[in-house]
Amino acid sequence: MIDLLITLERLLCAGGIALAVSLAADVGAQEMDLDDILGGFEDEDVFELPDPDSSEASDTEPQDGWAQYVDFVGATSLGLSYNVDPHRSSLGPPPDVETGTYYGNLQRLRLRADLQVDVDLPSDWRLRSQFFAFYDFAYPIHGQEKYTQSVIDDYLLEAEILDLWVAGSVTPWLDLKLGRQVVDWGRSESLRVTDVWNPLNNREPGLVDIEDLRLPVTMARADFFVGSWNFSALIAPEIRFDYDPPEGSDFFPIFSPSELPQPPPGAPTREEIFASFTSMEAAAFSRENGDQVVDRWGSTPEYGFAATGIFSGWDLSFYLARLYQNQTTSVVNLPDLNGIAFLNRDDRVTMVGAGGNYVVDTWLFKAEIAFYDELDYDYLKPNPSFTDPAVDLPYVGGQGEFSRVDWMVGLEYSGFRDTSLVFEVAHRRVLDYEPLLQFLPNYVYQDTVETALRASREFLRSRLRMHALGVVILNNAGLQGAFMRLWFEYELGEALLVDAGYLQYFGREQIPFNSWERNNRLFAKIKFSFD
Amino acid sequence: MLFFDVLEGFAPPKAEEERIFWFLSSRICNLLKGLTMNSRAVQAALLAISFMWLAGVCQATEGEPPTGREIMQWVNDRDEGDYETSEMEMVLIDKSGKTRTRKMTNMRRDKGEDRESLLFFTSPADVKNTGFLSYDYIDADRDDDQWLYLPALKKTKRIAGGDKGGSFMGSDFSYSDMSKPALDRYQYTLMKEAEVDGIEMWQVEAIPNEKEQKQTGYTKIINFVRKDNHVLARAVIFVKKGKRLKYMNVDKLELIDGIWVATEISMTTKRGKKTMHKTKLRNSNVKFGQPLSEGTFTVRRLEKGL
Repeated sequence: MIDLLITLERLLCAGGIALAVSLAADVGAQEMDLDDILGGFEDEDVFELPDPDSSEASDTEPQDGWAQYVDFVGATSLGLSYNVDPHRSSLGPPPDVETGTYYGNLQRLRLRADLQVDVDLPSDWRLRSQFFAFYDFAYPIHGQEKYTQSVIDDYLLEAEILDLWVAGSVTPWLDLKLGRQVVDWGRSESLRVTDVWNPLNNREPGLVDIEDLRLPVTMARADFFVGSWNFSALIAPEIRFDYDPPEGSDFFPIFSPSELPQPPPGAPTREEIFASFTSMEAAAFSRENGDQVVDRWGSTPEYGFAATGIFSGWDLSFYLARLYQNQTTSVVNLPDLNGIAFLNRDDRVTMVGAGGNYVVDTWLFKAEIAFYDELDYDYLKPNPSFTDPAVDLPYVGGQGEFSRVDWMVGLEYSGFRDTSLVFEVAHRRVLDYEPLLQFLPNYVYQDTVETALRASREFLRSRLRMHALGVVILNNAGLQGAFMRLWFEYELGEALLVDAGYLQYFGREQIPFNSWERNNRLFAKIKFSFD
Repeated sequence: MLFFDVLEGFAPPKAEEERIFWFLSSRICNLLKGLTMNSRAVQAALLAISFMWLAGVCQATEGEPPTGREIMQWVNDRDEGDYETSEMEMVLIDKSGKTRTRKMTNMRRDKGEDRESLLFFTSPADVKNTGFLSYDYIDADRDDDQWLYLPALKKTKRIAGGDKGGSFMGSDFSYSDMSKPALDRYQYTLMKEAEVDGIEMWQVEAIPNEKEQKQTGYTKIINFVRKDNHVLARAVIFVKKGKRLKYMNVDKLELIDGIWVATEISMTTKRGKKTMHKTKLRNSNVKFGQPLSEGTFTVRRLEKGL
């Protein structure tokens, strides 16, 4: 027994000594005396650095010849996404149009290349060209024939010019920028109110690479600088619209009878009418079939003006734009009950708006407001003179011009260490609202409220960045939909990044979230940048 | 060749009084060089006045030792040059010795006591062309103005001044380390005179007030200020969180255009005697008096890039 106690005592002593030794190396500043602390400068330096004059010195040496005028930066990446919840799209390729395409397992295996070339021109002008191309191996792996042609056209292979412009100063107070470019009119990070110039790539909402989320537009831009003010004038001969999910994609909306207005008494039911729609739906929602869209080139140009004042602690902008609405409206053509067709039509609108920022301590307050006028909507209207189902149509076309007021307020907080929090809320209200707008083909409610909460935090000395983004959209009918994206970025090495995360959609009642609800994806990407 | 041209060519002398004389003379010479006067008679008159003033200063320094606050005021008032451009390289070294390197091009000018700076990342490639524009105001009650240009988004974003104790781009330097301290927020005490590597220094303890402690996360700083040129040569910073210590050391000091410039600085974070992380900051191609107009430090220029 005594031996056991002695052994225990020795073990405790040994443990105590080991603990003390380990703690000694890890002792806090408060436990050290000043001489020890000051001696910290003299400790052996385990972190020896390479001689700056050897390996990396050449980086800063001036270049000769054409290289001094040209600057490259590029990236290659391999991205993948995985469908967590296997499902089918609302439409499939013939002959299985109604069965839809199977979406499960691997959904993206995309090899992508980006290149940006800047060329310094005389008089401090600059030429920029930016391109990207990708090929998605997921489609040949699954079999391209299982997808509609529209899906293959949009998702399999793409190469596009992003920026292509020349820019420089004509005088000390006048800058010109000519070519394909992105123009930022917004203060918001996640919601759009006054940021009207560049359409969005919405083909995979929440999953689009940040580099091509906003689609550049060809325009001429002049900026005049007077004191703290910048006056901009823009004219855009190239008309571009949002990239929407094509027919056959699992992001393409699912239509249902409830999206039709109540038919007049004595008419076929909504279900019966809807059945006649869906019998030819592949053509019904296509933009190929006699659409009245403006030409990309040669149409009346879009134009706009902006005045922005930047001051200490705050800034303010005023905007005026005359442009085509990114979301197209539709015209309903009703030759007979079995031959209904929807024709897309683009709408020229006027936007007057303002935006501003205000900084207090670690808070940034931001606001935007916009008034949209001449919004043309065509809608289905129950036939008021309906009497005979054999002769009369249940619906006739209605048409109206509307206005809308959008506003957004947001705040960012940077007071937590290595953390950024952004909250934004936007409200859109259609003035002199027509309740029939909520039905097919517009799905517009009188009030829509969008909220976005974004949180980011850095760890491991900025090597690891964690992000969370939640977006909720409500309207007069309740929850239209929501999504939540959680992801991280990790720096594997110099210019070598990996990111991965999860995207979850919510909302089963309303378009377009009713088709997204099962599109939840795991995603990852590895990207190497070079110059 | 004028007197101040000759003086600038000398290395700093060794004796204490000579050092003070040399330092103050060189500062005045720089001031005079900045004046665009053609008349040598006027220059000579100014020199004479300067020497009379210098004689008074030298006499004053022979009396009572300076207070901690006076020393730190000299550090803050030290000529750091103006209209500066430089290339900056920041090497982040982790516990296992792995390094990450950030390279930047930096432009800076002083506007009164306030400071304007424009910084562009040049490496690594994934952050290349990211720009940062900042107006730092000496008035502690005034919020700094800051903008960030993000090339991937092609967007300029105004940002609020964040937590000053936060890491500057993942380094061991915090945002507060990168700017001049507001002296009124500290209680300074001259601890003693010390000699480090054969150089005489003042050892000054700085205790931040409650507000500064909250913002920086520091509870105490022990500064080592060189007597000869008033450069803050090293410092030990007591970090509240994790009871860590940060050791700042000027590894290389160069005289560029008559201005002392710390061209290599290291900051080491330790917990007790255990080194957690280290950052080495190198400044190269430092130039003063560059043609940086007011238009350089604008959102317009930030969006144009380098």
